[in-house]
Amino acid sequence: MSGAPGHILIAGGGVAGWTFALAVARALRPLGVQISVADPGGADESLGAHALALSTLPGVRDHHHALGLDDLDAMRAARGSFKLGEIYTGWTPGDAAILPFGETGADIGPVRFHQQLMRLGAHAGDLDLAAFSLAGEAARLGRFAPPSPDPASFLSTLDYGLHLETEGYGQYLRTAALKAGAQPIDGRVASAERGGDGRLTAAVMEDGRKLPADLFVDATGERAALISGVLGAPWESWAAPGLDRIAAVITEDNAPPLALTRNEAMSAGWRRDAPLYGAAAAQLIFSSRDMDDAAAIRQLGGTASVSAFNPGRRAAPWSANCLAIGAAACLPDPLSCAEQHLAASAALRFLKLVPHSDGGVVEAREYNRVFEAETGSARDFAALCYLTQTRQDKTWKTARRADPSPELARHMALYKARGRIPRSEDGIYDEAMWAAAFIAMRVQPRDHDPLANGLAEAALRQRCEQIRHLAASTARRLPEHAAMLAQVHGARL
Amino acid sequence: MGSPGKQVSRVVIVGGGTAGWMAASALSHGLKGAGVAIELIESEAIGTVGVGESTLPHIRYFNQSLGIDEAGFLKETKATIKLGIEFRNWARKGDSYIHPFGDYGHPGDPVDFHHSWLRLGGAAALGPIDDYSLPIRMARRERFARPSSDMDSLLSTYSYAYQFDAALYARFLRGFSEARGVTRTEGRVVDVALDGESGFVTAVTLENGKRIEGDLFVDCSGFRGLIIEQALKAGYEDWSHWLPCDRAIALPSASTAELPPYTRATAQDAGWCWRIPLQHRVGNGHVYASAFMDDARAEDLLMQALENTALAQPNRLRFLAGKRRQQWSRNCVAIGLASGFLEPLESTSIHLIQVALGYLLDFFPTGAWDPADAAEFNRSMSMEYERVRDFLILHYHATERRDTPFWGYCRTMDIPDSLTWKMELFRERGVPTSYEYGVFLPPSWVAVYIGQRILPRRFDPLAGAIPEAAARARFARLKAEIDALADTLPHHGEAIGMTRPSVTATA
Ligand SMILES: Cc1cc2nc3c(=O)[nH]c(=O)nc-3n(C[C@H](O)[C@H](O)[C@H](O)COP(=O)(O)OP(=O)(O)OC[C@H]3O[C@@H](n4cnc5c(N)ncnc54)[C@H](O)[C@@H]3O)c2cc1C
Repeated sequence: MSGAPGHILIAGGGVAGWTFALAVARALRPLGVQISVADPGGADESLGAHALALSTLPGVRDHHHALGLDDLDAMRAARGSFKLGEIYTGWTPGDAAILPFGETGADIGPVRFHQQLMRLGAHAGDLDLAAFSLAGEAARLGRFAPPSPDPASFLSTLDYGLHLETEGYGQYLRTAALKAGAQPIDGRVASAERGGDGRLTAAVMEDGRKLPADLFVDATGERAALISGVLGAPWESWAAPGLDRIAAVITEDNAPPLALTRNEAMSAGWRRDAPLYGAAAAQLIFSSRDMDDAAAIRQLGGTASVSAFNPGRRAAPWSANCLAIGAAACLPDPLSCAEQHLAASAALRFLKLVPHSDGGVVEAREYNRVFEAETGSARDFAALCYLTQTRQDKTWKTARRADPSPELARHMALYKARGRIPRSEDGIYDEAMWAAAFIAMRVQPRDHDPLANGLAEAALRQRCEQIRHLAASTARRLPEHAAMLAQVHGARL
Repeated sequence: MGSPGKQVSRVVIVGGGTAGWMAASALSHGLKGAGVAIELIESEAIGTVGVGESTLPHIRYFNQSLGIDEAGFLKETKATIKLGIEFRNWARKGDSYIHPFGDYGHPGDPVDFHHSWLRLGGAAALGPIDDYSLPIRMARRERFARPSSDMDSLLSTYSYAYQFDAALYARFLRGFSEARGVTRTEGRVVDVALDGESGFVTAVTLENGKRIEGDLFVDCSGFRGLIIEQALKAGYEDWSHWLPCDRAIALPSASTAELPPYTRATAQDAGWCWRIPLQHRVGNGHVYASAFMDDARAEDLLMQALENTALAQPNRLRFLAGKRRQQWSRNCVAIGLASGFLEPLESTSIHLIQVALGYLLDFFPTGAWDPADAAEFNRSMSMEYERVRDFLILHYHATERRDTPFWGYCRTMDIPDSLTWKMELFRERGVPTSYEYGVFLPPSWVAVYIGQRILPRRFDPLAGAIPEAAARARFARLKAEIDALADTLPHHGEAIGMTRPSVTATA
């Protein structure tokens, strides 16, 4: 039979499951496709048990737009705050560096901004890239404003992502998906039955109910009930050597939130703090050889939960008529900020490749090809930090004892040679973000782009100073981040 | 000389064809102020390949980035506008379709246009997909206007390129380069000196004994690959089993009363003929596979295809599809025909020159000659070449022709896996592969797939979201809108400020 699959069953709700349900319901309900979500309720496990909050890239706003969602509604539902970038402390002993979103400085023809700075003698060891960025300066001063749509305005150079509490965000997505026509089913998918051709025929619920469908979406998180449990698709692990545990907690916190996600390296691991509105989310990724779970819980606060940390991905998340999304497909390291991105891009990519009910082979191959490139960039972005940090603790010496992927090796070789970022296809991060990450990790190129030598030094220096001044003076005039948040949230504090 | 630590301060370009002068222009512009001296050596006695007149839209960005004014350029190179390529007789004798530099349908259609067209029954029900593309209609009606930036307008659905006189373009760029300090040396290179230890090129010597030293050598010497192959032995990856055409005869003819804003590629028994209308003449040529056709027959076919009097003696060329294994080796970067050859069916050679120059500027060597730079350049160029290669193979392989052994070979030959996958995806589900880098975007693939009669078995189910009657009415409206709009646009000649070509004889 031809035509869209008559029934798409999504196993598991959560952010991954409901994002997918929303996307397909909007596009396929008009065709009469039935979309059901077997949601056991309770904690959101679709992105991994430790993902209590999401710290996104700026692309989240495009995703919301594509899904007919509103950023501010999402923030209100999920104690959201604005995110202007990341800050890394201690990855080089004693150091702190901001990786700002949006534009930093301005390229001159083919000469990238960081090459201009290096031409002027800047050294990666103490280069403060954020000083040339409106987002960076605003974050430092605790200020925020949405970017201007006028490209001629300096205010258009700022860009931002969001901090969202996973649970509230999942509820928000659920409401939108139900409104778009997705059907909720109570209960947890435990397994599935397979036909002779290897395709799944029905999901089997914990209570024994059987739910037949044409296409099965595995959003069961690390449990991967279908893609792993039934189809046995293997897991490719990306864990940095030794960093094998993760603790996570959300605590009430009324301090004015920083518009940055903070990554602090410590002796036996590192801690990630994502500020929310009236709350704070924290994760601790650590080595069980150098710290025990109890110590980790003490660090984060009493209610923290601890679990095994095994980032990685499935080789073929779309196999037969089963498509794995969220942590069932890929569990990125938190450093890559990719959880929300991968959840949304999976749904949007699927919409370009909706199979016919008896098809899916070529669609799956294309889907998996892009998935591989996309998740590869997430893997490499995090690995860059582990491999280039220069801490002397045992945990950290061990963590850098790994080989980069061939793509990351290529990135690193080119950057170390002359600060260049190669093009990479279907990756999540743009060139400027890669450059900012190398600089935040204090990787010093041996040389700069020779094209930068064509710029007159005095004029260039003046131009860079002007940008720095503009960033600082403009940021000072922006509203307080806390005030903006209070306004968004209707001053619930 | 390539000793580490020293900045690259002398660039020597060997060759003054289209590649050499494009390189001189791009480098003199991009390296302005960086203290790099550029010298170009060319030999009038050897001359250039003398063909290469049809381009892709990207050349406009090349010209723009150099600050070249379009009106002056059109005049000096006797250029015409190109909205696409018409392919005749490719899938079947009697077929004709245009691969436009643009898209079908309205801008911003939620589902890709061809899915909606297929859903309503395709050509049988709605007529050829060509009827729903403004640039194709403009091409057929010899009309042209510059595209609009209003993304709601049909006038935003296309781009355009040029057809120009290659010798005049090289002369034009020579003027540009010399004005930016490039020095030109006439003479034939007879020797390439390599450093005994590093194998780097240290100097080239001319026939008159003059020795020219450099840090970076850009080999634009044409097919011979004077430095990259003859001196550095980069090696050649032979793709002729996929692209068996290995000869060409080129022959200009007088203009006719027509001035089509497109290039035509008419399939023959063992290859194809091009027709490229310029302001002052028409470029013609026959590209063929010597294993399947002898030279005399090839020339006969070309003569038959001419629409007007020949203006010169035939120019006979030989080549081999493929590319250098290393296009950047040691301190030598090969660009243009020296770097490889993909036949001109989709006018990609000049574009690949432009792309190579972009990458060279992106990875312009430091005195350290870090191998990572050359590796990245080679990797990027291989990808560009392979993607063009696959697109070209598609034209030959996706055919139903059985009338000659050549077409039988092409139809049944093994093709690269990368192309097999792309074709399967389209054949099964109508999805053109999209990639971020590489020249041809999904609409180009769709045009050629459908033009070559690869019709997907399945279309996008989302195309079914609009009720059928409403969708049908939309198609009718769209076709009428395109037809009406095309007829309001200026004639091609008028649009480029040209008085009608003087017609010296009738066809
Ligand atoms: C049949 C055919 C049709 C084509 N059609 C198109 C088309 O429609 N569109 C397109 O984009 N491309 C086309 N091309 C390709 C296009 O012609 C070339 O890419 C373009 O002309 C660049 O050539 P080149 O400068 O690399 O080489 P050439 O034009 O061969 O130039 C080589 C230069 O090197 C010099 N030289 C060589 N040896 C020495 C020496 N020993 N000493 C000193 N100087 C030396 C020569 O004097 C000359 O100046 C076509 C090619 C062919 C064969």
